[in-house]
Amino acid sequence: MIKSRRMISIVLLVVLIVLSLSIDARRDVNLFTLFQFTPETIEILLISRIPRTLTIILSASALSVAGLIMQSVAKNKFVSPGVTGTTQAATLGVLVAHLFFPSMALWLQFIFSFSASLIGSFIFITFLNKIQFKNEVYVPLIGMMFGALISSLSILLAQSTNTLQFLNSIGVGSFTNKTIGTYEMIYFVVPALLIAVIYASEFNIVSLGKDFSNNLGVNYKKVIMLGIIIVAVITASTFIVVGPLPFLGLIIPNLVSIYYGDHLKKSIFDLMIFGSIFVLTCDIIARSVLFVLTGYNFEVAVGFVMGIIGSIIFLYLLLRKTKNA
Amino acid sequence: MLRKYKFWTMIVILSILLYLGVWMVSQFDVIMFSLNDPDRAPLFIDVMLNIFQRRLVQVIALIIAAVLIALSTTVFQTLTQNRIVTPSLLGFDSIFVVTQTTLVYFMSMSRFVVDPILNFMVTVVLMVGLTLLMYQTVLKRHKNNILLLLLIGMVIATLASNYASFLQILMNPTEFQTIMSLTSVSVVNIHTTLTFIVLPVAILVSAYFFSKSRVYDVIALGQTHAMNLGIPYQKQTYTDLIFISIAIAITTALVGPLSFLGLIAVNIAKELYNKYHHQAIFILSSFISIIVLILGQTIVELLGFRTVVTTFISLFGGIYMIYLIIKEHKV
Repeated sequence: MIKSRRMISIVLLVVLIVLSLSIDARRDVNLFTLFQFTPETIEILLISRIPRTLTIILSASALSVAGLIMQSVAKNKFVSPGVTGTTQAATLGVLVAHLFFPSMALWLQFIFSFSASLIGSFIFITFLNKIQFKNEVYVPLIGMMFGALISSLSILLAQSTNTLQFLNSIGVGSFTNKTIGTYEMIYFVVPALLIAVIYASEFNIVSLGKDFSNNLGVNYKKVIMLGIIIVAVITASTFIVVGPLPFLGLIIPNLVSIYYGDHLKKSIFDLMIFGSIFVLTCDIIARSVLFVLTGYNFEVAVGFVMGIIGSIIFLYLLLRKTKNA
Repeated sequence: MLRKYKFWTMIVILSILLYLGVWMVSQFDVIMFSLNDPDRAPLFIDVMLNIFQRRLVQVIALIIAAVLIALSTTVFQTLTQNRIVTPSLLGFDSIFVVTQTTLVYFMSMSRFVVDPILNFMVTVVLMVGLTLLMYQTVLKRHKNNILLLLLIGMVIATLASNYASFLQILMNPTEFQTIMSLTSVSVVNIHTTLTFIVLPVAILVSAYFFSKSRVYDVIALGQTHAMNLGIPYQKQTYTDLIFISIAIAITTALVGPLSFLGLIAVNIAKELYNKYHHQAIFILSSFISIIVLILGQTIVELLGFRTVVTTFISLFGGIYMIYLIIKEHKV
């Protein structure tokens, strides 16, 4: 059963990758002419389409894994970096970098947003460990309020320095213009993903609680800290390259745990495949919807499409889960 | 009543006076110059009276918003048995933007868009209708789980704002400008005629909350106790939520989102008055809400409009809320 599911999802992923490689404003390089590999198609592929597709796959799998780690660390199924203020902290970091060093070197932005999201998620996790909740819905609620607090800090900063427009422009995720020279920062997620795969079982154990993991010989504090660092690296680098991708870290781990169970070591690759399928689909929709509706070669930011589809799936998950409980 | 709350009434009046006069600080030179010039003085006094009149209308709108937010937050907290929630989190501001965007997109330049009063009414009706739909689907099926309702409201807010941005991309620039001017309601951008239309509704809603204050005293004991003591709990919750919707919809359409204001006001009131008579909490939290909103706006104007009072409030409100959670849930 699981094996056939896995096969289907891999086939689907390959189909979507080919589709993603064959859609663009250059309509003469399409699904049928792509595999003739003339020098021109190869150039187009290398400069723009492969970087873009690679960015999509890497950021999608990384954010899904980040969501999963966040859920293990916070011991709650309804959290993700976007819900607990990590993404908002990354925004604040980029804004600060923009204010103090307007030269906008990408690595500088990365350092700022990385440290900001590290601090943000660290505060949230210590905060959660300090208090006890009985209600499952309570934790994401507080996380959203915490995120709203950080956002209002950013808005305050932007308003007093006349950079509100910049703040709005980095607030929507988009894969537009991900060509050579603008997408390389996404490679930061590769080591983070590797470490996440190696430590998958530890994250599994940590989600059972402090006493339990100490009993099983897992260093609770160390694993939590490691998880927060991985989440911060992933959030910061995807934020710099793509921007926020709403609901990704929230719904993909939940869907995967419905279909493949909670054994992380076994399901972490399914998680990445699922995340990539979801984002590739959304990106293809975002690229083609305006062409279908109006006939113009424009694309919508993928963040909008993901916000709409993702929130509908999340609502479904929320109602399903609380109904069974 | 006034004698009992003498101190708070004084501060409210003081802050209103401060707000009415604060514009004179930055314009001090102009005022002195014009008043000393015998030719200009009579004309200028007219201008000043005009300004005072406009600011008085603003004060009325701010008071309406502050009182409605304080009352509805108090009731909402009683219904949820939780001190850190506020109905403003149900996503009214995004629903507001969505209704405006949808109106402009599908009925561009019709009467619903151009006529501000009609537009306001349609918006409020749509907002209340949407939240009612949410209550229907969530509360009926999930045993009055209002926290779940709140989370779903926040998700729907994200959905709504993404949908609105999507429609805004498809629009032509004229329509987009219309949207921008329709949705840029804020504390400094209040529609005068709307204020007077809203006033009777606001009084009605407040009167309802006040008249039921004894019922809320009982509901605060918990669902089972309230039912034992003869409160029709389900029906009462439902009616209350409808009135809360109306209150928040009105304030959002009138002065924009004020998410953390209710949280600050009600919690300070509960901290100051450590008993649980709703009538007293209603009055006290309304006073505090008015003071925070109007004094905050005064400070923002003194600082030269560098920021918006709502950002100010949500920043301090957020910090205060985190302090409260730590205090309430210490292990």
